[in-house]
Amino acid sequence: MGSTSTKIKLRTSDQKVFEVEEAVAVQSQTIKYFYENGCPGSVIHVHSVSGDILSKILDYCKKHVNSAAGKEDISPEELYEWDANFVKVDQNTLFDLILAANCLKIESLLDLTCQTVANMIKGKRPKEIRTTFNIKNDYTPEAEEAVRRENKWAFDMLGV
Amino acid sequence: MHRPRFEFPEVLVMEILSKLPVRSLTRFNCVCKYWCSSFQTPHFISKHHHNNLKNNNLNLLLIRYEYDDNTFQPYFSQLSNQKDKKYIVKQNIHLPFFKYAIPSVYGACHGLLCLQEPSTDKAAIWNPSTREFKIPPPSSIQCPPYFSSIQDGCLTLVDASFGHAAFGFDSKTDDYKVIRFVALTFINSEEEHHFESQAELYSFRSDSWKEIPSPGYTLTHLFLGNNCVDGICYWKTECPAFHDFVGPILSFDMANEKFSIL
Repeated sequence: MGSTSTKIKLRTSDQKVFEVEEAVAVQSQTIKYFYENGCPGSVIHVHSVSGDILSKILDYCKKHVNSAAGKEDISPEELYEWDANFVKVDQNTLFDLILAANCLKIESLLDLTCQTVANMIKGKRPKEIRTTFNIKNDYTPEAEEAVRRENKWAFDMLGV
Repeated sequence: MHRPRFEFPEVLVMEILSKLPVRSLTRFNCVCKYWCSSFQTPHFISKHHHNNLKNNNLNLLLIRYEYDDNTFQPYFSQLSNQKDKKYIVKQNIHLPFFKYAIPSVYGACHGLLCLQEPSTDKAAIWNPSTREFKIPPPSSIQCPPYFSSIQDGCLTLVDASFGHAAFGFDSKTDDYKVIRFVALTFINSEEEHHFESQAELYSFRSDSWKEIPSPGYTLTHLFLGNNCVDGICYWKTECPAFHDFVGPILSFDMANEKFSIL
């Protein structure tokens, strides 16, 4: 992109400031709203997102904007591969990305990150799931056994 | 995986869970009561269905039969549909009903199938993904064993067969419906056969059959399981009056519940 394109200034929760090309920043519906309805040239605060996470998210938006605009020669398969690598992060970062994608309203990124977690947990046992999401089992042992019996086929093997 | 270091918003947890395959989701019913009840809400069901359509290119089910002790046992094989690979059986799904009979399969409609045993009035609406099923009540058709008319004298019902069904969705009333034809065979005192065709309609919402006026066309024996498109069902008919026996196409509208001819 040329240096003449409009830039939007974003300030993160840890007070880092990013200057981002308009087309990239407005991938976030939240930023787009503030940009279109706020004072021109003012800094948009993204309170709930840290600099590290925003930086990653902007990489994602840039890749997708450039690919869609034909500025980067990348096949759909290559972009899919790029996305797959993008979400190869530790679990805390992944959950941070989900929270940020939700708050910034970037639907495709929310889809990608949620699907990644879904793929990680799909083969797990209910007990492991309770640990992952910090959930208290409120079934009595008898009630849990009844639910298991009712859905026996899903427990026969821990497949997906 | 370890738990997130903060409380993760419930709405995002549901977002993640709505992207799970059915088997995992079914297993997670016993994580906690809240999850179990959340999975039953129309919002979650429709979201999950939508996501699964996006992720799943194809779902192939093959109806098969096992021959054991002189009885057939039908079951379905779900085939894997990985790219560039031969179809292999991912899993076999046994039916909890129709244990010794071979059902005709109608649908699919929104992932549901309608199974009908041709020789009896036994039918089932089945979701192969969740293994949930519903068995409709017995037929509404009155089959009197003795039927008297001046012309034929005393008639005895010797056979009733249920076929030419169609399974579809009526989007106006948000209801799944099954229509089927009942062929009744009677004999009179001279051992002459007398045939009668009736039609009945099942509504999933009311969970009942009701008799509807038969259109009076003879349907061809051609079996079509997926003869319902956008709430309209179609059948080919036979007409002895025509040289080639090919009659008009009969259609039935699931919404206004009327037959017509194309």
